[in-house]
Amino acid sequence: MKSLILMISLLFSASVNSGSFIFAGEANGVGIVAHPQGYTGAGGTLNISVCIDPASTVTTSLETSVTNVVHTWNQLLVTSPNLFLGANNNIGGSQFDWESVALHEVGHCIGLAHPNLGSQTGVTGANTNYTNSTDGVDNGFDFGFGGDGIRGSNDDVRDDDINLHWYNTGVNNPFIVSPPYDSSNYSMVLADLPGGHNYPANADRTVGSALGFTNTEAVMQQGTFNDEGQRNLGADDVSTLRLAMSGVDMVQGNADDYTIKLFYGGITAGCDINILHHPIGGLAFCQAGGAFVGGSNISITTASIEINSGTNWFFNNTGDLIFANGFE
Amino acid sequence: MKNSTLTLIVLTACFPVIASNDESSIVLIRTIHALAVDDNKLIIKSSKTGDVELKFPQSHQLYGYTVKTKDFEKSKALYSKLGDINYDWSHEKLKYKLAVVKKNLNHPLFYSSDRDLIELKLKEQGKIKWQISLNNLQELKRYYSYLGQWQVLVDLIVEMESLSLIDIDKVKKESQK
Repeated sequence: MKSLILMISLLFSASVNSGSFIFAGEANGVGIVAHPQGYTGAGGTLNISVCIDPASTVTTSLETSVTNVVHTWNQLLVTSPNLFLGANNNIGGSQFDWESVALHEVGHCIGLAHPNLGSQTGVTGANTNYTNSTDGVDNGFDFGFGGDGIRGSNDDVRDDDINLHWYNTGVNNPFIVSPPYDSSNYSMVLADLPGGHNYPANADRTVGSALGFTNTEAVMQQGTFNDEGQRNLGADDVSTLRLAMSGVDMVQGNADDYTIKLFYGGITAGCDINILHHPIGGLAFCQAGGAFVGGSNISITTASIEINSGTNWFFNNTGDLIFANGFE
Repeated sequence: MKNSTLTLIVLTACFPVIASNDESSIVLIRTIHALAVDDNKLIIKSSKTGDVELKFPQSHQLYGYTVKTKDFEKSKALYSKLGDINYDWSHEKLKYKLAVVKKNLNHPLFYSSDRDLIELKLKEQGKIKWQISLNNLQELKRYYSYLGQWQVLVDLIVEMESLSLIDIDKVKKESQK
């Protein structure tokens, strides 16, 4: 009988790493920071409703997972390890975990992009593990995995590819976290990298293993496997969102800072983030609209998620062990 | 995991079988980047004779099944659109068209995490007559009304994908007969 193992560890260090934001790129600007719905540049609490569209092919089966996803993003706790495979989860061998995918898609719908290249045009296979970037002035991605042979690590050679990944200037390690989460600790500029580093590292599991963090990966990393549970956030997920929460001035601790509070709105339409579970061609996606709110900051204006009902899903019916009693 | 070939005959309209070159086909391949598994492709083939063949990625409930159906009505609708396809069209020209559309509009910013690679191929006599690939289907849907003659491309892709949205339970029951 499989058991769900939940371990939480907080690692304190002098440095923290972060990720990437949606809308950032050559079209809108590489330095774009995306914020959840409702952020206007003024501080406060953003209350964001997450609902299950009643047109979904199944609805009540999704409620536990959606509630768990809401709790997980609200708590912003760093978990390592956060990948639970095979006998360490409650998922069937050929199944894909609905809650893990929903956690990832909600991350997109509150502003987070993939820390890795993922599905950029022309990038396939192992090269999708390189750190998120534009393809540069030569309009072609440049790949060199450096001496360690690991794509996405700090010794990668990327020529003119413009980095889109916020990293901590002290250590460039996406698996450790420490405040303040703002521009005093974060940069996208390669000149701010530690000595000997070529490129920002991303929170890919292979990079993590090399840095001593086994079975750990950013939730926002693109790529899901069958029989894999990833229902808790990594350091990179937490620090990226917290970086955005430092506000338009990217200085933590002043008036434009905000916190987010997701809440489950039920099986209904018209919420801030609507989840529609129904037949589609792909696996799942988030779709969002946005508007500039000052400088390089974009606030999401609309958001929705569609998840393929034809997939061989596992629907988790176990509430968060720690948060089920309203810890938040 | 099932590993069988199921032939599911679904006659949706009474069309006479038109003698035609059965090596003419439209093929759509969606590579699902969110899947970090070996078999991450949805493959849909529609022949001029109405034959439809579907192969699903590893994530799908019908993975391992090769589903064959017959749908004269949809086949006719699909092939009727081919007359509006410009065989000079390419990924670069589509990219340029969309850039012009977006530049001229004052629309809110748009983001979609669906960046799956979609390849559409037209085959005749078994050879590729024309093909195009794109990874921004949701964006094309968003700006559909501004695409002009390119709308037929989105129509074709949407229609082809709809062929894969079949009754899963029915297929499984048929396979047990």
